[in-house]
Amino acid sequence: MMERDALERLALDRAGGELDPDTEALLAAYLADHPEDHAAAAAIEAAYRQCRDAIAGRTHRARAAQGLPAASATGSAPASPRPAAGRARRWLAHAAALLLAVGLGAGGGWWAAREGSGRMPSPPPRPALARGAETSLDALGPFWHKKVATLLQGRPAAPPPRRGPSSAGSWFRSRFLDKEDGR
Amino acid sequence: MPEPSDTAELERAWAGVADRLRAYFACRARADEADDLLQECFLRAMRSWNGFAGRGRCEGWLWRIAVRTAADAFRRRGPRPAALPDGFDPPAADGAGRDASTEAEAVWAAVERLDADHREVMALRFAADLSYAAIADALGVPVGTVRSRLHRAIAAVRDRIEESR
Repeated sequence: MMERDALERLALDRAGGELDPDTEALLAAYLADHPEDHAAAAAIEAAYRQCRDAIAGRTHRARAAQGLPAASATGSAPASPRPAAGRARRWLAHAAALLLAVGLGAGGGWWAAREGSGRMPSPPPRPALARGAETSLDALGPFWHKKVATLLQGRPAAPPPRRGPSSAGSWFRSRFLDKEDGR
Repeated sequence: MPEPSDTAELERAWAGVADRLRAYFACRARADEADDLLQECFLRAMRSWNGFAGRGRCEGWLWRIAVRTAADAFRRRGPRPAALPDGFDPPAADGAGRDASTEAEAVWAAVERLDADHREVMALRFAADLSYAAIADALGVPVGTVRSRLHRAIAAVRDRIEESR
């Protein structure tokens, strides 16, 4: 006689499909020779099926009672907050990139103004025009001729009256301009 | 949380087990709690996906999360038997339907009187339809322990049903 616990475990394994074929064949042969054990095995297997049907039936009926679809719809992942969070993250990333670019631009400009203003290459001096060329508008071509003529027409006949120098800088500037004008 | 492109494997695995996860939660809790637990399980999986990705079978990992999710929920609010009317139709007028329904109610009442470890194994086996090996993996116990618990649980249900007759 097989021990009852061992027999019932083997019977449960068989009911659940967890028994390998060789052991299953040996168990079937044993039970065929031992009718008492066969009845015990049948009883625990019946209990196994009752539990399986009751629990599986309960969960499936609970689903039906809630009006849920069978399998496909619930097989998908529940709606997660990821899409909205992903959009927010993308916007944040764009905003951060924009701020970084603005910050770098401003910082670079400040640095160049602070460090490199003295070394900024000055534009090359214009070649001095010959005296004759300075007065000959025809030598500049028709475009510049028209441009200069327009400027000369718009120039006031007399310079506006100057106010008195209010500071050393403006005084020197006015003096310089007077010299240039031959006054 | 990981980017959507990183979670394709997780979403595939989830699609394969979500139905059984819900059945498991419906067996462990009330029907109206099952969806909350399912959602909680999914969120936990998403949060810890970066730490897991590529380190083993995703399905087994999801079941471990499910077991912990249920255990944490019951720890917070205490174990509460699932209400029978959630899952059962009223007995039918004919004798056969009434007998089947009454029998199922008796079995379920006996299941609910089991202790937590045995109910857990029953839920994973019959509601989630997991193999012994998968149950052992989900619970972190040897397969022999799963067999032993399942045997004791079914024997207890059988004995209670016989007592009630």
